[in-house]
Amino acid sequence: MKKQKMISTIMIAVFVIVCALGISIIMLLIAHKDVVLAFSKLAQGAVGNKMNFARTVRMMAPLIMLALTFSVALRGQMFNAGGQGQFYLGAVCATAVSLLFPNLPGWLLIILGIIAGMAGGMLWALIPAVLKVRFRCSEVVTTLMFNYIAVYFTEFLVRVPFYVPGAVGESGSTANIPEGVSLTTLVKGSELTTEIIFALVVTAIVWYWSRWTVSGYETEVVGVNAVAARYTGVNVKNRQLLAMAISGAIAGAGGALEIIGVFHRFVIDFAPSVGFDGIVVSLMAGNSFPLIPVTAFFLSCLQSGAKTMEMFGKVPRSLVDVMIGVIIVVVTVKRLPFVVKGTKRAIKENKES
Amino acid sequence: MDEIIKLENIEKHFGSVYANKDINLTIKRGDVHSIVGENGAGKSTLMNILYGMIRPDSGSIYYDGEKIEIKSPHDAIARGIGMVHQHFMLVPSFTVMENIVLGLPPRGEKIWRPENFRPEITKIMEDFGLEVDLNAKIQDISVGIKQRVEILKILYRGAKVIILDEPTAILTPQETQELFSTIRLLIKNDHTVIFISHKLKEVMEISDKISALRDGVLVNTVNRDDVTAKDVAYMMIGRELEPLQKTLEDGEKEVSLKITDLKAANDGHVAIEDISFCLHKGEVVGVAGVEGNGQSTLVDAIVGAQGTGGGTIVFEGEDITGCSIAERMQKGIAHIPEDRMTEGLALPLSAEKNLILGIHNKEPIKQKGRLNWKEAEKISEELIKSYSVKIKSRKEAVANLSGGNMQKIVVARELNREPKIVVACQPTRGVDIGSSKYIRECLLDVKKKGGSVLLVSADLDEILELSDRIVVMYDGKISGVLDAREATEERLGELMFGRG
Repeated sequence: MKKQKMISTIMIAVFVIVCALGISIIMLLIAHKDVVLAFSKLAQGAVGNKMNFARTVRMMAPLIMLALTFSVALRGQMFNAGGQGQFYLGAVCATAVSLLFPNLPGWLLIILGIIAGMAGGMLWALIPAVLKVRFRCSEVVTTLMFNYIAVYFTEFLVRVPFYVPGAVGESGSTANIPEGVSLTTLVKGSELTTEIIFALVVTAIVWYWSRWTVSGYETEVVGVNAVAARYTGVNVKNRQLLAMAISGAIAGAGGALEIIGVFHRFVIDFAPSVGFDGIVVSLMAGNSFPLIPVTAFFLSCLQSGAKTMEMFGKVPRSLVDVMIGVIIVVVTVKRLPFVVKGTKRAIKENKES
Repeated sequence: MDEIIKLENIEKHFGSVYANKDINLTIKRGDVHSIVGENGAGKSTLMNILYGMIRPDSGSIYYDGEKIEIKSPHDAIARGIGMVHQHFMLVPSFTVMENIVLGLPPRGEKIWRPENFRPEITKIMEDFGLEVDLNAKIQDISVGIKQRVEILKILYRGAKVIILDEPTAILTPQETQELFSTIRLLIKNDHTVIFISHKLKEVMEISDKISALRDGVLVNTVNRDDVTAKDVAYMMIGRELEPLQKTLEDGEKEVSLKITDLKAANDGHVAIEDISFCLHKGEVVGVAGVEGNGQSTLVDAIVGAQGTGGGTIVFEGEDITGCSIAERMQKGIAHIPEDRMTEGLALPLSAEKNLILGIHNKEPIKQKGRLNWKEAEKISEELIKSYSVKIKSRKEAVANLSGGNMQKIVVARELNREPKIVVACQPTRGVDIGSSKYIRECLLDVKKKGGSVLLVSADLDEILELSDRIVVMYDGKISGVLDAREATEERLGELMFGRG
């Protein structure tokens, strides 16, 4: 059964990708563009050489973290649209720790930074979560709105308490964090650091949590049917708060890792679409944790290859946005008739063999 | 032309499952023709095909000897076929009159005035003895009257053939009798009634002809006068059904659950008040009443899903009024919720995951802080076997199961904890006869082992069959407590209406 579920999840992901490619091809044909050239350049930009491939993998890390953010919350029937804000809060907290205690050793600042980032993200997620379970405020709205608060609140922090006079400060950035606070680079000359390993480890931990722990199991039941969970003695509100806390902590850790691993300073609104992209990755993975790195890789290929495609393929990079749009539309279609049929066939064959 | 409707070789399948297989059915004008069968036998599918809600894969429909095609309920009504669904399709905030004429084009004037339709509706009401206050709002009238409104609605649209889908499931015995007299008047006025039910007693009372469906196949069509209820049951399930053995016991028994002056509110309204009764060890207490008279609130208060506004609940000498659901479960209270789909099961999850719910946080499933799926496998395989749940594997999602098997999963899960009290709400609603009997046996087994059962059910037969004592609720209060030996349907019916 597990296998069949996996088959159907993968089939849906494949179908989504085929649709996205198909519709983009149609658009390119209408616009009289060279389809082969455009896509070969896209692929080249994404995985064509070592450096491009390193960039693509580097871009996966925040996508994985924010996809996990969304998926974990959804497990507990919470729609966390606020990954973006939680990510910024985590990033700013990690930056603050390093700037406030520059004399501590680097390794300690990394650990403290990640912890602070998790705490910041968790806090930012828990406020809407508490509002939801206590006062039934729709978490969709509150988490979304908290994104805006996060952007402006972090801007305030950058402009006032952490302001550094001069061009850096005026451009909306904090000072750089100490040299020693950085992760090991995996491919020389690229931005690819051990951040990606962190992201994969977090994926594994979350997967373990969902499968092997009591709270993970209870959260799954709550996510599917909160009433049934309640009637069988599960503390639904606790589980929803927990899901949001974990979710926010992951986003916060994602933000902290981006600062420590890549940016080394906090720039206002430095990754404006990462929260949204995380949701797309999560939806493509169909709420399956192990599949998230795979779909994250696909999306980061698109984004990483877009620039090359624009430069050499003579196609604007917004084509990638179109593809992402198509993906979202297809993913939100709940019943794909032929996928259902295909799955049934797969089940049947599986049974016969 | 004697035949009003003829179905020829009707077939319909969903996926690989046949809902209807090669069905040939003739319905005579002026008959009450009952269609019986267990849940999932294909009754509703067949009727939905006749009413145009579902298109058949193959086969043809004849009306008055003429081959017709029914593409939508619209076509059906135009032909004079009307259906009253199990769930009413009425607008609660509209009046009866507005509901009856809803969707009809304006008459005479350009503006739609329900009043213009009044004389005709009144005439139909008189012809068929369907007394209804046309100015009352739907939200203020009882279930029985709502059903009348539905019948009026289709009669007004010119229905000659009336399909009633499980019409008595929601009615008290008295209301059922009123419905039957309406049916008799319909027949007298040259109408034809198709009556869908699985209550044999009613079928035997009202029908001229009886057709039984089993697993999508039409087993047989017989004249009512030629058969006994037992024959019909045999047609439906394909085997004999032994009656349940209930033993009534006398003598003083230990009190298990004692409820005193319980009061609780629902959405700010008082839902139950002055509720006091006891549940003894080794006893089944039935709670009867028309739905919506406080039973659900009472159950929620007992299992801990809802706070109380006064009174106490004492379980084995311990006041549990303030305990949480989990604490009460721990002490030995099990709950079979009213609606397995929304309250009992996590549908998309596997049977295994559903079966361990409630014991997942204890040994042996929880070991050293993590779930031991090996143990879960052992337990769920055992339960699936001993409750003979029809399922491919324990990993299959419960959403794929039939109603009866879903309910067995709930019952298995709850009884597996070896509870001291089982609060069972509508435990066999929408469950096929075979599984119903099994579930009822399980409940009697609890009693035999010295546990107690609080059985809340809208099915009076079930209450009478299982209970030692019967508490009747009306308007949030207890309107009477009867010993099983003195309880009759009539007496219960009176109490259910607060007349006692």
